[in-house]
Amino acid sequence: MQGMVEMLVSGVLLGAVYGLGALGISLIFGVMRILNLAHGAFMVAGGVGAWVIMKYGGYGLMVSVPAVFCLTFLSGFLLCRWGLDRSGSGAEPVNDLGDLSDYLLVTLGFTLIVDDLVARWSSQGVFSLPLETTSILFFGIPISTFKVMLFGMVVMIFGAFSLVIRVTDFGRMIRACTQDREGAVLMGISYRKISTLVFAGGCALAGLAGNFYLMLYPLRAQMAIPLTIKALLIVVLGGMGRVFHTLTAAMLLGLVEVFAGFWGSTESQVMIPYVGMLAVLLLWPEGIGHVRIRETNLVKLRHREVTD
Amino acid sequence: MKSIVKHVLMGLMVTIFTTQTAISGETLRIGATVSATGHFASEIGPFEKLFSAWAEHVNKRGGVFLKALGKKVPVEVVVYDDQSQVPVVTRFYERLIEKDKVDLLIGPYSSPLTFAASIAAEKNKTPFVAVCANSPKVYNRGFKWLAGVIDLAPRYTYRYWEMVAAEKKAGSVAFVVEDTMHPRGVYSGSRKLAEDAGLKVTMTEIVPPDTHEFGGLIARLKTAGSDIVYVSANIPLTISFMKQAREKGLTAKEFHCIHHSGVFKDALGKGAEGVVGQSYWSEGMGLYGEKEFLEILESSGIDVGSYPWAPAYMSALQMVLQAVEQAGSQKGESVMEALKRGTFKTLCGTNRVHETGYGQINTYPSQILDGKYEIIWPADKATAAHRFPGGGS
Repeated sequence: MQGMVEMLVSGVLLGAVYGLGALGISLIFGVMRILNLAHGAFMVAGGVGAWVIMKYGGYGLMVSVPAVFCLTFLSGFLLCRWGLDRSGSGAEPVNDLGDLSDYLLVTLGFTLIVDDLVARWSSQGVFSLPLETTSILFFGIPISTFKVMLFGMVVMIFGAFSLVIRVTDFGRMIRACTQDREGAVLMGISYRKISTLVFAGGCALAGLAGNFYLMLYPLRAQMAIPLTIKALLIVVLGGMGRVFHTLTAAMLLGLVEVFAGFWGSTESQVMIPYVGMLAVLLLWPEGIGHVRIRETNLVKLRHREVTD
Repeated sequence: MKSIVKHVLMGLMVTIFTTQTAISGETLRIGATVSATGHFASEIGPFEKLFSAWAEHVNKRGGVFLKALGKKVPVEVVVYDDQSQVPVVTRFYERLIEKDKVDLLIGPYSSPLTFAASIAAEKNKTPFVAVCANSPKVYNRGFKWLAGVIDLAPRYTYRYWEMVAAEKKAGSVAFVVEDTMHPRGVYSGSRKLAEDAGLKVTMTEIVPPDTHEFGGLIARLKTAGSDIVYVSANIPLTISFMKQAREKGLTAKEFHCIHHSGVFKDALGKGAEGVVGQSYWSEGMGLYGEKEFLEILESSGIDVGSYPWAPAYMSALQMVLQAVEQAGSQKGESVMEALKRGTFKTLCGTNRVHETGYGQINTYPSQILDGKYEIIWPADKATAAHRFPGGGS
């Protein structure tokens, strides 16, 4: 029983960290219609930044989280303005192959630069924090204190994100750009401003995911591309640009990774997510969330037919 | 402007001088790469300093004696960062031979990199001393220009299993094996040695190298309930596994991690206490060149706890020096002949190169006790007694 609870906690926490990372990529795709291939690089940068703050500064999560958020937001902002905008794929919608190759080059180039810088800077090759063993009892089962704290922070970030998107004017502008960019621009919304802020915000979410990842696992140089692939896998599973479904897919992935390692093997926990992605692409090409959406649309259509 | 011209001319003169001395055989040029960055930086990151400190140390004593010249000549070491990558290592070893015109080569870290680098040496008939490469795949290609320092991977922890068999304290073992060349090689021998030592193998898990989540595996290990959990993996995966094992309360009587260097100790903190691993050397073992090695460590600023492969590199350098002196010249064929035929006294013990190229140097089981690495077997080399169960949390 204790083992099951521990695995459940690990799976949920891993899913939450994955979700945070994938949230940014999904948000950026929703507004800008581009896949941010530099996403893993921002996760690595966030993790390494947090490692420096914690190891050399001696600070905890309360300092590293806002610091990493600000740093990765600023870096994302600069990458968008100096990289994507100048290449022509940031301020304007991506609508031809020329733009596509431009942003691929910029984001992939950024990833390689970050990977190389981290590898060159790190003399030890591994970024790891000391082991934390304090725990609290949850129905008689010891659960690591820092994991509880970590989960609380991730939930708070999700909550704040959701609030910004649903309640604020800025959130409405993001939703407007996601749903109908031309319409939004005609209503006076500055697409350039929104896309830049969304890109920077998405990168900041990736940075935070990197910070939380570091709390759970050692971070290595040259992890940027594998992390980007993982985030893309989640977004594909959940459906591009759909935040809630992205989170569901991330949780599912976290739980599958942990429980596949128990019922199967560590090899299967690496393989199953990719098999799952293949299955989803074959059965529901627009992601798992699309099943429900299609059904809802069908109901609406029938309703319209009846009323007509 | 005059100053710039002066500097350029001086630079040219230095280059010409260096090239001429090398060509005329007045310097022994040794080429190598270290993984200053990338995956293996945690194992040998700052070893360029070790090479420089060694060369300085040898040159202070006048250099290496070459009978053919009837005098001592200085040594020079040319080192590049291979970034822990096979394509980079291949490029640099070719450059060392063709452009830098080195007399002999010291191998890079790890079996996969050595596998690739040694091809350049074989092709160009340049003596190549493999250091931290013990996969049988490196040595079963019939290479003539390859001489190794260390023994084959399957025997990497044979002294540990000797100890387990002699002590008769453990009854079962579970293997966690990273799916890469060296850890798999070590496992292949260790499993047989464990069975020969009378241990029951409760489970074996082959783990992909990028695995980071071990919750499921740890739950299965708890059910299996083995006395020893033997982790045959490189440092990053070992840290990831051991952190989660400690955090989730996996209570084996002993954890054996084949790599448990300083990076591991720092990451695990108290969790590293009692963990057994393998070391080539520990201060006080009384082997050849200990004083010299301690001086080199001091001048290079390398901590052997953090970088436990330093003694193996020192052994390689000692071997090279003795081989060149035995050969009496830096001619490739003579040096290779000496490397293949000679017996060498090194910091890690006496070495002779096997016909296929691997060496005889092997590791000793060492345990982290009160934060220090202690050799625990054999009795005549031990610096502390083996603690079983190991403890730590």
